[in-house]
Amino acid sequence: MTIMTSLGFSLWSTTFSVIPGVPLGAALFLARFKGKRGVVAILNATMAVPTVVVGLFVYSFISRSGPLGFLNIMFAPGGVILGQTMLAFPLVMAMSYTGLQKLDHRYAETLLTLGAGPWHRVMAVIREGRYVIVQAVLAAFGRVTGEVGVSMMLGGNIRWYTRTMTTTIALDASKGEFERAVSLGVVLLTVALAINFMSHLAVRNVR
Amino acid sequence: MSDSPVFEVSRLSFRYEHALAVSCEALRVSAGEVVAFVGPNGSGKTTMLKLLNGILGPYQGTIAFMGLPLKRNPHLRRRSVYLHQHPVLFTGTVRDNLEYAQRLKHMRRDEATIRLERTAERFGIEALLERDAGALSGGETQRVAIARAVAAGADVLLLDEPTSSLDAESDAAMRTLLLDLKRDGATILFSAHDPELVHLIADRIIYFTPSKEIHHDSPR
Repeated sequence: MTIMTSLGFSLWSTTFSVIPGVPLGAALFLARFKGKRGVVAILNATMAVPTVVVGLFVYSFISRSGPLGFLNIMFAPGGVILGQTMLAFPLVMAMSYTGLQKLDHRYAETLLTLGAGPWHRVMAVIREGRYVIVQAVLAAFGRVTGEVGVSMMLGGNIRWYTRTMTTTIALDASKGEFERAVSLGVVLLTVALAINFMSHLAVRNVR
Repeated sequence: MSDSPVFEVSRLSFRYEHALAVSCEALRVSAGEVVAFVGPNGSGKTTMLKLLNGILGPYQGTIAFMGLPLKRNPHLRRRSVYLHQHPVLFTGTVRDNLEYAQRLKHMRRDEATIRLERTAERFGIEALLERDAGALSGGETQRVAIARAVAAGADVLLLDEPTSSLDAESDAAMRTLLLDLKRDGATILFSAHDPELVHLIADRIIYFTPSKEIHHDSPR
């Protein structure tokens, strides 16, 4: 149950971060404007924000007294998914941007000269760079599956409801139930290795 | 040959970071003209072709296409296409590539189909239409890239060293193709190192120098 809950949250949050993150990463790759380097630097910096800080930030919005308190998603799956989405979004956008940098610059110029509008260009570079995009998506999935700060802070670690693999491991370890913690750790490790393997396959296809 | 200018350039200068890449006092290209850009590597030929197609910017001075500035020029993307020295084709078949370019131009489906078949026949690429675009030879890729531009309605072609990387057979085929396009009234600006090609198809030669100055139109 915990494994399914955990993977379910990760799947939703990855989906919600990919929908805006990939096109925005592609748009940033195509865009030419002053200060682009600054934007990229800020984006890269947001990838390193600790999960508890992201959790705290979202907490301030969705807690009862926060501007989004009326949504009632604090200590509920919605809260965890929102937090994880906020965590994954900059990663997806930054990795999409960085990955597309490997794409031959002639693609973007060819699209421009053939008269492709901004949306067509974004979609075309996503299609041409689909393997690096897959890598970004898998990395985001791995990041949210393995995080503990957001799930603990926004989900409250409620059994059968918001308890994920990572929060269960933290709880079991604190209770001294190492066997359960280790067995879940092995599952988590397997998920991480599977993601890495798929990511490796995606990159190999580019070469 | 009509006298209406396709390109009119005045006091153009363009810099990469702080280094001057192109400087051109004046340039006028008429419809149906074939103009060769000649000069050593790094003299600004490719940059000039990209500037004329609105791929690079911002620049100082003015570039007009069909009498209008490049920015928001309704004719620019409809009628002119720049082709790299090694053109890229998109994922899919050759037909997918041609159809994609036509879709970008919002061509009507029946018109697009007729145009695609005619272009394929004219460029001798009918047998390639269902082939994977990524599996073509250099010569075939070059040919398909030009066909893609023409199928999408372009009649002003900016070609960056169109024969430089081709084998002898593909080179000969490309020369014939360029002559055919010239005969059909296409306006072609191309860069080249091959004097034989230049003298075969160019109406005019423009010399680029390492100091980034463009020598005024030199007669053939």
